[in-house]
Amino acid sequence: MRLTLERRHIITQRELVMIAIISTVCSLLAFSIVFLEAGINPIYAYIIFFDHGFTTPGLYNTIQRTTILLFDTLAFIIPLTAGIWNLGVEGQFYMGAIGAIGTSYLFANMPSYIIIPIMIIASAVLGGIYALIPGYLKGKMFINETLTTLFLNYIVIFIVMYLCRGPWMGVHGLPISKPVVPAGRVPQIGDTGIPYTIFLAIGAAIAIYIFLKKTVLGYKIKLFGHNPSAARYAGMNFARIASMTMFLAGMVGGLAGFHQISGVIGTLRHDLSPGWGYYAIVFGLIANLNPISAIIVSFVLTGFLVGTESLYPRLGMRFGVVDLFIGVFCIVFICFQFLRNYRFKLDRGGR
Amino acid sequence: MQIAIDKINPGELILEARGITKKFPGIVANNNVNFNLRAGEIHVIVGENGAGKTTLMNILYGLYKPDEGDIYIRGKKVDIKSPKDALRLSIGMVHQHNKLIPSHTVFENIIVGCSKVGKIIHRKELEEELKELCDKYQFTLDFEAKIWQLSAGEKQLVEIVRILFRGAKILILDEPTSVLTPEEMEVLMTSLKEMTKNEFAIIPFITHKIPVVLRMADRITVLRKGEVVGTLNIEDATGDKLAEMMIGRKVLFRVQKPNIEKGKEILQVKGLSALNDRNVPAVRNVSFSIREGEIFGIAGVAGNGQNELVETIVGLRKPTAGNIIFRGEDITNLSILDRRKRGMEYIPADRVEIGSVGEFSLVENIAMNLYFDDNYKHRGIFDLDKIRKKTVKLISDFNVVTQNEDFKAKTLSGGNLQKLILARSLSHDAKILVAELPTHGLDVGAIEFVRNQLIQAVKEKIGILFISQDLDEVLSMSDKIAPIYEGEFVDIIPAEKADRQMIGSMISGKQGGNRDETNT
Repeated sequence: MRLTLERRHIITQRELVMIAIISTVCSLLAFSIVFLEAGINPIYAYIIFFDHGFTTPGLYNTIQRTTILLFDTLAFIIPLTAGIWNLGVEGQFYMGAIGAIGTSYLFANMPSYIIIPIMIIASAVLGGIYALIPGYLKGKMFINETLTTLFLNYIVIFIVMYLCRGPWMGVHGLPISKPVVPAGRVPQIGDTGIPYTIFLAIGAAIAIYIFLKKTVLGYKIKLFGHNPSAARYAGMNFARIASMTMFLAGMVGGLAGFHQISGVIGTLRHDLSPGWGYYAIVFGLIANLNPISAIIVSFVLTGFLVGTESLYPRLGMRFGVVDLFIGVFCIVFICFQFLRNYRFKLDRGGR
Repeated sequence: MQIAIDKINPGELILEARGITKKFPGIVANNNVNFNLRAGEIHVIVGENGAGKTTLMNILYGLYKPDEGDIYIRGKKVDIKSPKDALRLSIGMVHQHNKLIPSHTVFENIIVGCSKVGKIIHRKELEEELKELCDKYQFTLDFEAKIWQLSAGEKQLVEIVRILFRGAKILILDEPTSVLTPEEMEVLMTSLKEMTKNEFAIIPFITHKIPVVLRMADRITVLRKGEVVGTLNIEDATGDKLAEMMIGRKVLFRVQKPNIEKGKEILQVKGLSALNDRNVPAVRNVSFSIREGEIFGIAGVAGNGQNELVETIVGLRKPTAGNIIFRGEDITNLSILDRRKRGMEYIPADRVEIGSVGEFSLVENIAMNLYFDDNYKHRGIFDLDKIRKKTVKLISDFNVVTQNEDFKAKTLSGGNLQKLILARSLSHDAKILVAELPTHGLDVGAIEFVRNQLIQAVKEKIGILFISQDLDEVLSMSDKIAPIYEGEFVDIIPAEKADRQMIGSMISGKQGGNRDETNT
């Protein structure tokens, strides 16, 4: 008997899921080397890890954070379906946060049912416009979107810093803004600490899935992603599609900012997100650009992230173990991508 | 496993494949194929796309392992596991799409990765050896030229020299003539004939171009649906016989074109000029007009501005001068979509990269021409049922061979993909059809189908702008013929006055038409 590799010609949805599960398990196995090196029993470590990430009360934390990562992942997925790399999710997130908190100050005396919709719209529009800039530049003048989106992230961080130390500064003199008015806070589900925005995120994922599958615009977006010259041949306008997809992505990214302001933190600060907009790139690619898979991927991976965060208080591991985990996970996942083109085959008897 | 192949007697049986069977999921690519090769012969393998030629050659070259059957070299059974093994057994392969490094020189490309060269490059000696090799077979190669500077024919020559340098005596050539101009083809054929005198054995495999096969071959093996239909000596082969063997029935080579009454002028092009992608003038002052039910043929060697002209007419390229008038309306500044809505259809030369999307299903590919039609959408949402029904109908009307309409376009063979694109273009109330190389690279059966469909379209009053590099095809299909050379129409000749020799020299720039004489 001999194990051989065989080239695949077709791959089913089920096999794709199997590959994802196998690579996840293998990455956990690979990461146990880190535990061994730190002198911790990996089985014990993983019990704590899963306990913290996927059972209550840690689960609430996971779900709450899934919301923001799902928004971010969707904001990354939509433009890439049209072949545009949106590395500016982080910036769109902060723009959304500015929009949300800014309008909450403006309409401070309004009741919840007016102020919250206004905050949602403001964050979506502001995030959308911010993403529109690189989208338009890409579509009209073919300016590389990976650079523009990335650079715009830094600009918005400095805008946030200015606002927090300047016009919107809170009472303590710290670089933190005044809090959102109580009417601008999204209610939470029972006493779980999960804001209702999670349903907004899941709804957005489903809506985007249907949008891409059923609508003419979604079809155009996919056509550009798969074959830009065929799309041009079919008479489609890239400038319009690039602007539109980026605007849409920015809107979803902006909603992540709304969630963080209105549902979780309640104040504007420059460290609202520890780089989740960049994690979205990993999540989106692992979800294979499918918005429905994105729901599952963001939940499971966020659970892992929350689980890893338990490692330093509970097991005395160092900070940075979270980044190490994401790194190991990515490398193992990429290694297993070859299974999409090849499969192992047991050669019985052998000639 | 080394088998000396240095001293071979002409006519000796050097390679034999017995009972080769290779299965892929869903198809039998080769079924009990027997094939043999003598030293000093050119043994052409012909067959339609998907007949199993490439699979057989890949087995001989060690890229695939046969499920059943054995390969013998000079009577000894061999096991070819990789191209490296194949080369050790003196078998070399030249691929259709060259695998050279564009930014490196010819010399570098020839010696790269060759075990003979060793760690240190003894440039003088190697060059000497290469020169000797080239002189022997009358190849002319500039070793210092960079690959990107070479024509398709020269690149192919580099590939051949590369394989010869590695000591191959059995040469497998994949569609060797498909990228060549007529002159380059002559040179190649002379060189190959010369090589067979030196005990080389050569296996070119070719899908169509039966005239080339007949001129080149010593023996011909015909494959159909993975099986050998027969092996012929050149004396026994005729074009009709080969075509019949290839597709299993008689084929019309000459198009039977009925006399069609021409209607009014629908497309006028006046003084059109355009630049190519490097901002060099590629189309110069082209004027012509097409009437309803007329086929206007443009004949020319690849790269003489045909593609730029077509792109300018359909709206993918901006003209620098001139006007395009379509059914009385100046469309020079309209987008491709607006032209499409008015009934201008375009079949691009590159059906894989431009004409279709491989990752999309057939339904989604058909939708490329329906997405702007309000009958197929409601408020921005596709009426998928309607599009699916239309796709199913087109697939059956145009004999597109596929399992079902949800299969991805990349699973279709070249001929079926072209049928799909043709079906899509003609399904949408076309007034004028711009067909750029519509039969290029197709097998005989598909060529016949495409040509008949074009004739059918003309009967329905559609005007066709027909671009082809195949002179015989242009001559037999068109009502008027414009030979194009360096972006200019040399002349516009009615079909009944056109003569193969004359147009042949016009497209190679050797002879100007009447127009030039009056100008100068």
